[in-house]
Amino acid sequence: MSTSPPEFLEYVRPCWRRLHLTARQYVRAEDAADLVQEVLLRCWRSFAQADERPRQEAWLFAALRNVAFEWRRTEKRRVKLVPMPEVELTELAPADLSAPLSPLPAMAEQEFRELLDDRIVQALDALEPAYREVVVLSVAGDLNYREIAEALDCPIGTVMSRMARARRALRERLADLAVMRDHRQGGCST
Amino acid sequence: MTCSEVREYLFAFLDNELDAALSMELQRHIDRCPECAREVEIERAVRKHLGAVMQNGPVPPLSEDALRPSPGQSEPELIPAGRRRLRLRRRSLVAIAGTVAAAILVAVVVPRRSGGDFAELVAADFEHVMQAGQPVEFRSADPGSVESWLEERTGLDISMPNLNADGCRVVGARKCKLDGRTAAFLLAYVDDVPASIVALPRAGLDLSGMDRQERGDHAMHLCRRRGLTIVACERGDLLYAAVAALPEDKLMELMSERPQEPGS
Repeated sequence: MSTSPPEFLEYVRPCWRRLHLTARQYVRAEDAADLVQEVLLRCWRSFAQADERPRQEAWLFAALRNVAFEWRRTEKRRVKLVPMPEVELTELAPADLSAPLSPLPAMAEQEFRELLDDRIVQALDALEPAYREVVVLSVAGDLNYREIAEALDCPIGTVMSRMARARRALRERLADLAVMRDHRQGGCST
Repeated sequence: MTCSEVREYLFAFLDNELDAALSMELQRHIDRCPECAREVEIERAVRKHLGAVMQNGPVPPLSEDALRPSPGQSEPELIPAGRRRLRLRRRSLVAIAGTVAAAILVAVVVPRRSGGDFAELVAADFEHVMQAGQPVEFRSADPGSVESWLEERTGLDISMPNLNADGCRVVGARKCKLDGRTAAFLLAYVDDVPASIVALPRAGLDLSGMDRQERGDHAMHLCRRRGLTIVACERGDLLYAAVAALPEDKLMELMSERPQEPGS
């Protein structure tokens, strides 16, 4: 059966902005619009033939990962964040999620804000792709854990533990960067 | 709750992913533990900065241009979105096979048609009529004329729903046979999407297999078949069903009773 473009566009609309923001984390900013368009074209053709329609988030964000993964495999474009197949994700080292988080050096609130302004991207980019991806889907995609689980095709418990590990790893990077910054500032003042 | 338990659930708490009881327990601990409160404050600030980094910037407008390949861009291959999609499709095939088997069984053993069978019937009819290329015998954009024509041709006492709703444009009608009975078929465009409304005698049909929703004083029955939404309701001796690739709300709005005309 045929489906009208307006209907499909209405189906996509709630995710449109979030898809673009998320695509910018997977590929370079100048390639993001092309990535989203390729996702849209593929989903549009499937949509017209589908006998049931999954929720937008589950389908569109999973498709975004698929296309990014394919671009990486075929070296079509440069991919910054490579989606990992689930089988590789299970091999990540477990972490003690109840252990204390990495302590930050004592700093005033203003200094802490400056650290985040200056270093949050660097800290994020230093994360393993599997960790970075859940953060990206949560923040740029504004997906909840269930939606992330659907996009990644994994149990929600996996998302929960991976998110905790990702945020702990991010904190660890930030703590390292804060210490390095302290050292540099100390060096300048003496 | 201990500090280590708070740390275990900290990020799910900040992402509003904990159930209410656990979330309240964690909040109570934070209210009386300065160390944990500080961790929450730090991680909230981190999350806020991540948002500031990732959630800014304009995006191109969404239009039908996005559905046309760019010059030089090859037509992408059709692929289902991920392994989950593949599994969904396999499951749906099993479900369809089960439905078909059940339908055959019902047809042999019980002559009465359930709501699911009825939905399949009207969805298949809609597809067939649209593919045949000549969906209407009588062409008119006037709902009153179309209704009169249908009443005369089918002998049914038809009271079509709210065809003057926003975005609804009547195309015409045809007389048809559904499940061996005479039925009225009206074609309209709703938000530029083709939609049919069929009316047929309801004896021997029930809507029990469809999801029931109360809408004002009336019950609507919802179902999806063949990628189409079906919304059905009973009025008088007739059963009405709207079929279209549209959201349920839109079809329920269409199927709502038309407002009383002034002076009536």
